[in-house]
Amino acid sequence: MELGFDTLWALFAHSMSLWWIIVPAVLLGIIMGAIPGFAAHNTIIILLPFTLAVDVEVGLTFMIALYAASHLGGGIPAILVNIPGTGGAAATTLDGHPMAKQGRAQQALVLCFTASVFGGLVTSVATLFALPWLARVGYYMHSVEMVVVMLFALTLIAVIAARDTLKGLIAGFFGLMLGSMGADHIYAAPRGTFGFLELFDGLPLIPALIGLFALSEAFVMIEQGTILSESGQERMKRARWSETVDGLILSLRNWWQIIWTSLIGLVIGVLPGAGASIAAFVAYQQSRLFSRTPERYGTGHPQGVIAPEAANNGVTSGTLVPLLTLGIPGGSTAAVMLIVLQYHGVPMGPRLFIEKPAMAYGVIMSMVVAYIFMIATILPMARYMSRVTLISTRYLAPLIVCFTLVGAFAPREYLFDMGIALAFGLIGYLARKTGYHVAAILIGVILGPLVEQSYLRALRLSGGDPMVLFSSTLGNLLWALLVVSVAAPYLHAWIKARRSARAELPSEAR
Amino acid sequence: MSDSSSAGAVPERNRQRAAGADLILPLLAAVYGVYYLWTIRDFPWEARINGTFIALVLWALVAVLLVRTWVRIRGGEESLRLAETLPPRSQRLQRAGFIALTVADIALVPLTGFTLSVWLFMLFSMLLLGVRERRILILLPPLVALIGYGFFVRLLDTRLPFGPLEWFLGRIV
Repeated sequence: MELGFDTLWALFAHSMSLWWIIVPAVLLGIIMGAIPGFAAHNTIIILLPFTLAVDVEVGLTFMIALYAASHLGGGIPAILVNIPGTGGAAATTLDGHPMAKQGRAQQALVLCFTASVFGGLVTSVATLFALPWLARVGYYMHSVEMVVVMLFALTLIAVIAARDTLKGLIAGFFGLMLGSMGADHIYAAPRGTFGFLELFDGLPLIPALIGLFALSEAFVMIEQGTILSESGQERMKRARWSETVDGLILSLRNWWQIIWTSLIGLVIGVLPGAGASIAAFVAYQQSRLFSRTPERYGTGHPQGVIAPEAANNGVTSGTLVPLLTLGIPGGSTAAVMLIVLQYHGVPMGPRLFIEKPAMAYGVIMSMVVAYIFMIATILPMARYMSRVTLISTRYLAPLIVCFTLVGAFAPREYLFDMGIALAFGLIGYLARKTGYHVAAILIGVILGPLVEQSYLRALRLSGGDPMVLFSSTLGNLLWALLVVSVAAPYLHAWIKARRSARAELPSEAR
Repeated sequence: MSDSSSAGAVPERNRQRAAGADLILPLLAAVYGVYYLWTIRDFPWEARINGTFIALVLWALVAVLLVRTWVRIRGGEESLRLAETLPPRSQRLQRAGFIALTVADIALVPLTGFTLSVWLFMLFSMLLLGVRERRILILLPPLVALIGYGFFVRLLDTRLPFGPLEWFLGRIV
């Protein structure tokens, strides 16, 4: 199918005509994304009878719009109350919530929304034109390369714990230790599960995330009357619409940041199983690496919100690539979409582009249109959403506990998972009070099992030879980039210190 | 040695950073590492390699932290006090009570059901946190519970624990 102007315009106009399904899907997706535990795939499964009953194009458009909007929605509680709505928004808390505490919640939300929308738009358009080439990325990324990509995200542990690297590493390795819980990938032997059957499949991510971020935040926030600092309260009382405009201008000034971090999300999204959380952490880490002011990350720096959010939504386009081109769902949401497509008799893989090319490209175009509607619906709400930070913690803390415990229960419907959330809530509370970063623990919990799986697969394929990790050209290139990423901040600091020392010397001594 | 009775002098005890609580999480992590390795002691190497590597690195890091803390205690910079980690005395009861309410909420939800547990949790936790406006205490908990019921149970069809209120609301709605 030739993607000329006429074809593209026809696809665009057709997608726009489905506004009546896109707008409700966007609003529902934002709400579901904002509630921890209710990810897009949960919502799509609940609404499966609807998507199966309607025309396949309508059903697909609904799912795509909801999926994309849920990634945006996850950033809202991450910024306002330090609780990521989805795993992909965990990195947004690092700078988004400090901005909210300073009374800049409105600006942070606008940065989040514009980075998400424009990041998603850029990658959707890129996917539209580069679909055949993007499909080949999956062929080149094997277990070895996946190990290195995840190590990129793991190095963020040291980055975000810059104030006390030792504590950051302890938190990260504690997370890795907890993430190793459960049956191993080869022999299915339970490890470190305390005898609980519910932990046989490993530590469930959503209850751990809810405990570490939501419950611990609720336990901490009752120490103060409000989330905001004193100056933040004054600033919030003076908040005007101009802050939304300022946030928009600031986002557009960082247009290049949005583009390249969203492309990181796109590439990682193409890899089955990689996920938005990895993309967001890698994008945050890379953004900090290339920043002129890396010390400002973690203190409420706008780029610390833009990078992970752009990558988080860049993933949404990437997830569609293996689904459409190979018939392989890259994640849980794509798996549910596959069910709907198979139900309607739509062929997946290369046959889709032969028999129904308009549907294949139409899916991606509907994502473009969903993002256009998203910015129009969500941007005006930033000002009102930011006022959540003015609510007294006497009401906010109990509300957070009530609703996030539901989120912990919902994925598996085990009461045990509420207990896991509580246990992690206590761990997270202790971590916050003693200077250990909860995000470092979460990174370890998320990435630990993924790294092990890829590493063991690589070892099995090589017959147990550990040198397999250095056996591919692409893998070695990624290793080199990893070493540069880790060493560069220290090298940069050393060069800067030497220059300062030379500048302080008297001119005769130089 | 400073004279702590002199006007304006800071007692040495107060100049030392309380680092006792900083050791709780690392020791917990180290103990879990021991337990984890004990559970995999008879497993094939593929099932052990990952956990063993992580546990060894974790123990090494904890050992470095212990040494660092000991050096700083010897140097007078830190002490093993816990006091500064805990909230002020007036808030400790509030904090402990809030956590206890959360535990009770989770423990009792199979009996009371989701809606009633939200109602009761909201009511008692707001009382504990100092809310005294009668109108808010009477109206807000049931409102939140009903919104939760409507959204999660009715709209999203989440199979939350069923209790007397769900039974009652199911009959009238």
